[in-house]
Amino acid sequence: MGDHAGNGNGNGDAAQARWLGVGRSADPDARRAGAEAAAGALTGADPKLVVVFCSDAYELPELLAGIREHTAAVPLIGCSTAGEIADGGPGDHGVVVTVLGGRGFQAATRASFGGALRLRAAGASVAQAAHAVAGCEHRVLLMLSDGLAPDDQQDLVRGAYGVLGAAVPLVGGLAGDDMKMVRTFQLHNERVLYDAVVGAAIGSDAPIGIGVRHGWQPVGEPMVVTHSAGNRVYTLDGRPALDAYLDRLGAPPEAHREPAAFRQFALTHPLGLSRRRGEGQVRVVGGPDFEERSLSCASQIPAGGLAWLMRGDGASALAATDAACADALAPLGGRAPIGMIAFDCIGRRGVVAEEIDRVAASAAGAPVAGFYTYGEIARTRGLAGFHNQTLVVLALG
Amino acid sequence: MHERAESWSTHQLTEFLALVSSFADARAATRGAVEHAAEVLDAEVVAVIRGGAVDAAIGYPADALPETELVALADDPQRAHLEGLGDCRVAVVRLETDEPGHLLAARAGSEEFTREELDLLLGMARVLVMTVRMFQRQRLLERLSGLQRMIVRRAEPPDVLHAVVAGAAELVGGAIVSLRLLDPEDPAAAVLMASIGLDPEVQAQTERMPADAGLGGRAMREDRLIVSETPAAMAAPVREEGRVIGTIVVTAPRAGRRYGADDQEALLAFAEHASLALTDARMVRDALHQAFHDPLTDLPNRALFLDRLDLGLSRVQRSKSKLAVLFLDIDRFKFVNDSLGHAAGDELLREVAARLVASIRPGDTAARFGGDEFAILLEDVEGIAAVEHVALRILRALRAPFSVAGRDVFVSASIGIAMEAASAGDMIRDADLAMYRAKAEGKGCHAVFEPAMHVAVVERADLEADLQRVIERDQLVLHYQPIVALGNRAIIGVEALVRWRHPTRGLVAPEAFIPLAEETQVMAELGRWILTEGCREVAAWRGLRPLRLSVNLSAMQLHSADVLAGHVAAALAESGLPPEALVLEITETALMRDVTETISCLRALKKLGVLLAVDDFGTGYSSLDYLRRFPIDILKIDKAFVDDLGAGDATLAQAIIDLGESFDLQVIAEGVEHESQRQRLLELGCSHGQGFYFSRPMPACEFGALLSAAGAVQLPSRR
Repeated sequence: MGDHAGNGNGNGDAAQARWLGVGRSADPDARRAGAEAAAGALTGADPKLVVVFCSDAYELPELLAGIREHTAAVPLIGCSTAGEIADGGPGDHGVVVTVLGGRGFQAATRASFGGALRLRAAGASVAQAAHAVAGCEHRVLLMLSDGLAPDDQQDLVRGAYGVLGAAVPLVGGLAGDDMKMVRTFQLHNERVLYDAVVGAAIGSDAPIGIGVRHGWQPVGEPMVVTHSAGNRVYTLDGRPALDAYLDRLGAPPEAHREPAAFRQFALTHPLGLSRRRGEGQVRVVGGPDFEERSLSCASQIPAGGLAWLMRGDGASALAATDAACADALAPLGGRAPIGMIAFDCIGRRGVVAEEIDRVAASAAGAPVAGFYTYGEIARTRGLAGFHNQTLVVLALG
Repeated sequence: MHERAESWSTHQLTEFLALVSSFADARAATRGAVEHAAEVLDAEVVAVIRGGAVDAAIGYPADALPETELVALADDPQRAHLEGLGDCRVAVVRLETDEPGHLLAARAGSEEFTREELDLLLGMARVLVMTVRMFQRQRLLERLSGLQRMIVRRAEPPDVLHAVVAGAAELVGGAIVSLRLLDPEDPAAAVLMASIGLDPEVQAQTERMPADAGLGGRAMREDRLIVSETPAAMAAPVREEGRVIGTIVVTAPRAGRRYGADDQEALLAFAEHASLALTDARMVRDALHQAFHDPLTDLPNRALFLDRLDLGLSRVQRSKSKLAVLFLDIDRFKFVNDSLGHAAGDELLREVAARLVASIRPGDTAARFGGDEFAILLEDVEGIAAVEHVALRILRALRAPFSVAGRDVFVSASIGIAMEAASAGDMIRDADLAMYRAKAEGKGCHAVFEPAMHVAVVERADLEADLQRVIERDQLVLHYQPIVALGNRAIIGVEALVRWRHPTRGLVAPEAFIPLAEETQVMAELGRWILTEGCREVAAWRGLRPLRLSVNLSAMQLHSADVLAGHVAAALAESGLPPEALVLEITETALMRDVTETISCLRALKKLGVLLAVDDFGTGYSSLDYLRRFPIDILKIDKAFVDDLGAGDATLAQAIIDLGESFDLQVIAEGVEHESQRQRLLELGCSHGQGFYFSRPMPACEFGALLSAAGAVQLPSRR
């Protein structure tokens, strides 16, 4: 069984130079699922990189073994998700394998693990992979990280940026565990890792585009972060942060007490951090401490800064989806992509159900892969590259 | 969000301040500031540029930083095209530091930086300068307190100087930092003590430099901080107890650097700490030196000597080398001290110390234990012969006259030698014992330790204790040896010889206790007793015959001329003995000890009308000149020359007799034991003599009986 969605781009010479294939499977047998998805993704000769997005429900070593039946020693990265994305739309408890190949692509991978508290160093470490593709005209560093790491995820971006500078854009997502919030996994070649960052530097002789949008709007006056330490916010406007946040948004009573109810509520009520321009950065609020009435975010919230309460709806989110795809395709100069990869926040899944269809539509027949994340990475301008509640789209020309 | 534009930049600045001050040091804060500014301004590139170089930057891989391009951009921030960014907009603000600096931000694309963003960047620049300065002050204080800790804990001065140089390199920001001290041996040269960043070749070449060269030379000459702009460099003087003894020089790492007030202050602080360390080390060194050296002679003291001896002994155990300890005591030092004063005594000790040092090898140790006691440690000696050779060399060196308090003083010393012992303490004790043996054997010589000396020293200690009470216990007696006219054997006088009637030892000869008496101050009393007693008895005998009394004076008595003259006068007055009937005998060696003093003493005695005799004449090295200056009446030929007569050698006896004749002195031969000697002496022109041939010394009663019973005026001829 399994929904075989293998799809290759078959447009003349350019196709032979570069190709991208996506295979997916929902076979409950890990090895078979892996083999099936990998076989589906291998749509051309000379594979250069394998990217795996899978449910952590699988026996991951088995899954990897299945994938390796077809991809042998081709460099591989991957991670567990909160839902896999392919052309057919979102799926759960399955696996999506993407393979890039052809002489127009170069790829190199690196992994850094055991580094939950050293994301900056991990970012700097995996960024070294880019040296292998230094000669390519167009480059991108794809990073997949532990979505439950307790530190400032922006440090991952800072670490990579410190090594690569502005010349290499960063893209990627934070691994998920189907909302169990226990442990996420990262894959690197033959190894299953956790508490790790894996990265793949992709070099191409065709343009690469990245789109980043969320569509959330600030509501009312901003609040001042009056007391914070690292990722944890203790007070907003001088009040206990948890109460200030929930009261301001009129949250249901159970969100004041129960972790699950809070999480559900928070997923659609992120905080916006003040940014100079554009959409500003969105942070999903998590880690409520019902005792000390504090909350935390996935990156540092400096005291003295401003935070907005954010509001979004299906329409604005969908507008953002279209804009993200358009931004990603823009560098391709009107040419169709050979494939697109989406890093979509799990918080958006309930809000914009048709998001993946919109992405697939913009791909104009090219294969689409991706996963629902616990956080998104996209740095194309400036240095701010870690996002929440956001759709990141990578378009490969 | 733009509706809150005003508070946006304010809050960003607050956030920025909180962030940069959360770092541990200036370097990290600068890197963090650059990164944060990039995030806030959505700028791909942010750089801190100082003194023509990029201090910190983000936006480029470390190995691909377009430094020249960025530096040029900071001076002329036009719309630019930056590598990796393409077309971009650039914002630049000044960093208000001593050294020209800029904070630069570049953003890809065509969107200009707004007024508000520029203000924010300016605010960030100010916060950064403030924070870095704060960190540097803090780091400076840390470095300085680290140096203070080193100084307090008495770290080795070279280590402190290296820490000073490292601190200056870090905080003043010098590519080359060097610390030089004047060579104490040659203050025209400055010696490199510590440096950082100096090319090894240059370092080798400038190990020693002329002290007046360069900026450092100027800083030392003018005793102040000197700052130079091109090339940027500074030099500060380093002092020891306020005196300039060196300099610390920093040279800028790159063109465009300028040393401002903060840098100058920091360098002065480091120079002061170097000064503090050196002054302190000098004080410690001095204190240590004082603790282990004798302040008078600057020789090692007993403690240091013991330490070196311990060390030497442990070396001896490992290797098979030998070492020796010489214990030296100046004979009759006390006389010098008492008669010439302590200043003269000190002068003599210093001179003795100098001669000791000159007599031994540089590696050997001469120490002063206090008073007139010295110890010498000879290491790696071959055997006792070599050690005795050194002892003789020392004794010879001390024999030449010392010029003390404007006069020539003759001293001798006694040396004890020990060559093996279980411990340093034992070794010194053994050498000490041997020294006493040397003294007992006649002074001015040396003795090698033998275990039997332990026994001797116990005896000596007992004897010394008994001697203290010899007079109050009335244990002294005088024996008399007749002095006769050689021609007719007529008794013309007697020599009084003291004996100690010891309750357990029997009769003790003067050689066994007179030296002891001289050392223990009993001599003055003893001398007085002999005079009084002798005068009394001879005065009584003179009823029977006009006898002359000869009494031996010890050298010690000569040192207190007034006291001696007083005793003599009193003895004459009490006994009624006419002064011309009293002959005071002084050994030649005692006479020559301090010529000036001796002359004045002899003159004082002559005033009393007594006669003066030189005992043991011919054994010392008195010159004719001295003989002429001394008011001498009688010469006594030493027994050794009389003995020579038996062997057919009359040279010296003849010389002395001729001398007596030419100076119009009476000559008395000592130790006449044979008729042949008597005859030969007569032939040579000697008129008087004494000796066993005529009579042994005898108790007063015996002599008295001899005089009265026979009424004898002539001693019988013997065999």
